[in-house]
This record gives sequence, C-alpha cells and structure tokens, in this order.
Amino acid sequence: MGIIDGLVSGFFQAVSLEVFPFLLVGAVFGLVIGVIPGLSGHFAMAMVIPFLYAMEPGAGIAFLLGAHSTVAQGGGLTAILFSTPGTGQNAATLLDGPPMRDQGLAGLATGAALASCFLGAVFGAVALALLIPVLQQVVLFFGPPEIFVLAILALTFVAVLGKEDLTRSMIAALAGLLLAMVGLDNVTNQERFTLGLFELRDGLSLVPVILGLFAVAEMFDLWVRRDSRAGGMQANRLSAKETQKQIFQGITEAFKHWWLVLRCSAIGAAMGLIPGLGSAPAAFVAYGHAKQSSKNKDTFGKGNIEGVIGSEAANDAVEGGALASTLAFGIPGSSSMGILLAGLFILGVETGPNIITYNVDIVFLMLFTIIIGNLIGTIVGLFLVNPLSRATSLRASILVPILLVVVFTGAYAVNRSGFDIGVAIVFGILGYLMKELGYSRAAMLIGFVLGFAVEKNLYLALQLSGPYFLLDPIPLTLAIVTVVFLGYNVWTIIRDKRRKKSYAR
Amino acid sequence: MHDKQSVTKSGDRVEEQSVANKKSLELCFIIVVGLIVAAAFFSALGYDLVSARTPLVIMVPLLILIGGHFMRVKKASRNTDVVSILWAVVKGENQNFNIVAGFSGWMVLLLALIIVAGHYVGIAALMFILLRVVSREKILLSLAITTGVTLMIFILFELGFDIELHRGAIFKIWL
Repeated sequence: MGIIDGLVSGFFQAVSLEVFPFLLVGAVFGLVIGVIPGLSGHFAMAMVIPFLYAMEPGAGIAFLLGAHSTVAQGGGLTAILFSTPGTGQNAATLLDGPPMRDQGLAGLATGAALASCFLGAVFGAVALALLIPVLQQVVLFFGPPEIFVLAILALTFVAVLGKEDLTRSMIAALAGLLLAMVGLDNVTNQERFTLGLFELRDGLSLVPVILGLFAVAEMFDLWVRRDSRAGGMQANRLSAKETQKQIFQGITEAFKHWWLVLRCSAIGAAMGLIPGLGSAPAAFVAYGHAKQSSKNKDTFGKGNIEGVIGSEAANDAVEGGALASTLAFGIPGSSSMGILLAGLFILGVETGPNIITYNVDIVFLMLFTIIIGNLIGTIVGLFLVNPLSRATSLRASILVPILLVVVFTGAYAVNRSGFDIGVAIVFGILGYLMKELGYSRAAMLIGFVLGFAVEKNLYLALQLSGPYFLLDPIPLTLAIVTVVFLGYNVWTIIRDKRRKKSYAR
Repeated sequence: MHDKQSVTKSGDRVEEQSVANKKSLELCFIIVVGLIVAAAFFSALGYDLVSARTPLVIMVPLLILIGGHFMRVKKASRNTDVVSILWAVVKGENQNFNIVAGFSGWMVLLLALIIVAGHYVGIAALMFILLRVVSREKILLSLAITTGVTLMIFILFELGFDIELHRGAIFKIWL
C-alpha cells in the first residue's frame, strides 16, 4: 500500500462509525485517569487491554491510543490546578503552572497547556509520517541477527536511561526476559519453568502480567496511603465564565507562540526516538530550551506561560518518535509502548517491516488516533475543567475497590481463567515491591514483551550464520554501541562515587 | 521553638526508620529473587541444550547482578538491625506491612470467592467489605457503589462484550 493511500485509508478509518466511538470513549477515559494523580498513562492503557479481545483491530487501536493520548492533558490540568501532576511527565509543568494559578491565571495556563499538548501531538504525528519512507528502507536491512541485537540495545537503553538505579533496572530487565521463557519451548516442545502447572504451558498471559505490574500495584500504593490523591489541595477555582474566557486566551497564546511550540515539539519527537528516555526528560529539556531562548528568563518559575507551553508541547510530541521504533522494529522504548505492543499482539497486528510496508494504513490510523484523541481531550478539557478537577477529590477508599474489581474482571475475561486473577495478584504484589524499592517496572515489562522475539531471533540468527552473526556490520555496530553505552554509564557511576568519597574526606 | 525542634527530631526518626525498613525489605526481596533464579538455573541445566540456551544466557548475568546487588544492599544496611525489624514485622508491629498483607489477603479472598461463589458474588462481597467494613464508608454509599459497579460490569462484559463471567462452583453443582 502506498503512503498516500495509507494516509487516506487511515483517516477514513479513524473517523468511521466503527472506530470513532471507541476513540471518543478511550480519549475521555484517558483524560479522567490523567486527572487522578498517581494513575498514569500506562495505567490507562493497562485497564483498556482486556477489552481488546472483543474488538476489531481498528477499534482496539483507537481505544488504546485514544486513552493514552489524553492522559498527559489530564495530568497537565491537575499540575496547574492542584500543584499535583497527574503523571510524571507533567512534572515540568509544575514550575510555571501553579505560579500562574496563584496569580489568578489558572484558565490561561490550562488553555495554553491543552492547546500545546494538541499541537505537540500533531507535530509528533507529522514527524512519524515523514519518517515512514525512511523507515520503509531501513527495516529492509533488519533480519533476525539485527533485531536480536537491537532488542538488547533497547533494553540496555531502557535500563540505563530510566529514573531508577542501573543495577536494579538491569535485574528487572533480565528478570522480564526470563519470565518470557516460561512455558513450552516452540522449537523442542519442552516445558520450561511451568512448575508442572497446565495453565503455565502457554506461558504467562500478557494481560494479567500487565494489569498486575501497573494497575494492581497502583491499587496497593493508593490503599497504603489511603488519602485523597490530591493531598487535600484545593484549586483556586475561578467562576466558570472567567475560566472559560481565560482558557480561550490561553489557546490563542499557544498559537501565538507557534515557533516555540515547533522547537519544543521537535525536541520531544527527537527524544521520543531514543528508547527509555520517556516524556518527563523531554519536557524538562524543552522547558530549559524555552527558558534559554526567552526574552523574559527572569520570570520563569514565577508564572511564565512559555514554560507551560514548552513543556506540554514536548510531552505529547514524544509519542510520534516513540511509535517509530515500536512499529518499525517491534522494539518498545517505554512501558506505554510495551503495553501498546502487547495490545497489537492481541489485536493480531504484526509490527516490523509488514506494518511499515504493507499495512501503512494502520500506522496512519494510529497517527490520526493520536491527533483526534488530543483534539477530543482539548475540547472536553475546555468545557469541563472544573468538573474534571473534582475527580482528584475522589477518596482512595472509594476508588480502590471499584478499580480493583474492574481490573480483576479484566484479568479473568481474557482467558476466562481464575488462574489469571492469581497471576495478576502475584504480579501486583511484585509490582508494588518493585515500585517501593526502585526497580524499573518498565524494564521488566519490556523484557517480558521482547523475550519471545529475543529467543526466536537468536535461534534464527544462529541457524542462519552460526555464532559469527555478531560480526555482521549492523549487529556488530549495534553491539559496540550497547557495550560502549553501558560501559560509559558504569564508568560515570564509579567516577561519581569516587568523587563523592574524596569530597567527603 | 522547642516544639519545632522536637517535631523535626521525631520527623527525622520516622524517616530513619522508614529507610531502615526499606533496606531490610530489599534485602529480603533480593534474597527471595536470587533463590528463585538459582532454582530456575538448576532446573534449566536439565533441559535440552536448545531449550536451555537462552534462559541460561539470561540467568548467568542475572545471578551475577543479583549477587553483586545483594552485597551492595548488605553493605548499605550494615548499621541496620535487620533481625529486629523482621521480628517487628512478624509480631505485627509494622503498620505498612500490615496494610499490604491485609490488602493481599482481601485479594486472595476475592479469588477464592470468585471460584466458589461466582464472579458477581465475589466482586460484590469484596467491594462491600472494603468500603463498609475496612474503610467505614456510609452503608448507603457502600451499597450503592457495590450494586452500581456490579451491574455496570454485568452490562459491560456480559451484554456489551458477550463474555460470560465465572458462575462459581456452587452454582455449577446446583445446576
């Protein structure tokens, strides 16, 4: 399928009656989840996953990405209104959003944030669309040896660049890979690590693992704290009329700062291409750039609208870049992309050269889903800022029982198996412990999702070229990059420790 | 002024205790993970070479990392009285652990209820217990949420997605 055909088909699929309602529901759901502090984008996606089994691919993709695309918008709203970012990626918005609120400009900041998110998402989607012809050529050079080494490189990036400690992240990534080995070996038909349980012969089911690690673990966290997630913060609520007026002004401001939006979106899209970096660092880099390039540097941190615009635009532009490696090589760079990849498996959508070359309409469907999802988020956010902000005052004692039964019902529904509820509970406890102790859940999930591909491609690579496949040009280059990158980071950690010790003396 | 200082000191003590608890927890966590991986390693040695190859390639660096990290955590917690912290947990004196263990227990109860009495009975019972008994929400609110959410799940899964949820062993025996 040609790119133009794919673009037209993707657009009409996105606005069709079979897909659009799911996109709408997904986007509103994502916005509400984004508003609730502590429940992030991957939580929204994890909650959506069980429903995918009953959906057509187009509807499922729209539902999943619709939910994911609006989470940052919801998170931006609470960062401004309550000084509590709904998700980690909105942390940079805290620097200028709340000071603007305190000056009585909450509506202005909210409008600017919503519009910047939308514009950033459009930029990210356009960037990915422009990358498609390049990716179509690049993927042709990637066979089993290249994919195997690329997967290891991506895992290394996720482990090293994540916010968690390097050793803990590496342990999590390798443990994730090991978990993927549970079940029958496809080549020899031998049972591995099944403990004699029939239910484990097909391996650990993706959905309960995802739900456990990201949804049940959050429920533990909420239950332990058991207070309102907004921490009792009260928004500086304006009258509905005044808020509306300011929001429209904020949107105009975002368009007036189009050059800043463009530059910060470019930073976000470029950083999205690097596995493991995620939205939060992109938002902070964009914020720094906005400050550096501003004429009013002194007002940053005291309520400068450019700070809000820069960070929020980068936040959403990241998705376009992150989608590129996930779709072209089947290598996710973040937990959200890992869940997306799992969702695509469930929907029967194959990533890699196939999707980029023959099913490019699905790629465009994803792009239009992100754009339309963000547009829906902006429109809903425009008119429902005050009602939406009330979601933050939901008590954990009410929220947890409701979400918990929905999560367990989702875990059960996939294979109609009580065993999967048990898996979700076990991974929920594991996920909570990992969160508490600073082990990367993203690295574990990506390791788990990639495990099957890693083993399959290693097997094929050894069959094709024997153990010397590592000496082929692309695998060798990627392996060198992996070793140098890991070595450099280990060296910097040792150097910093030594410096600390010498300072202490 | 004096009050402020004593509040700061007690805050520091709470912080210190929390750090010590975390170190002890991580020590136990890494030991359990290490034992599981070691068991997996030895069981993989008995597999066909092709089946064992990838797991062993993964587990060798994993065991090295776990071993190294264990030493690191042990070194970091040399001033921590791990045994007395664990003893306090066993005696039920650690509030956070009690909450987590209790919450895990409720989830296991839910699983048992679902298997025996069916999905709807299980989720309704768990919601009501958590809302009314554990969190002491008002009875009307608890009943309304329990009924509403159970009904919503029935409509969504059974009518919307045509997924029949588990009817329960009792129900199946009666029929």
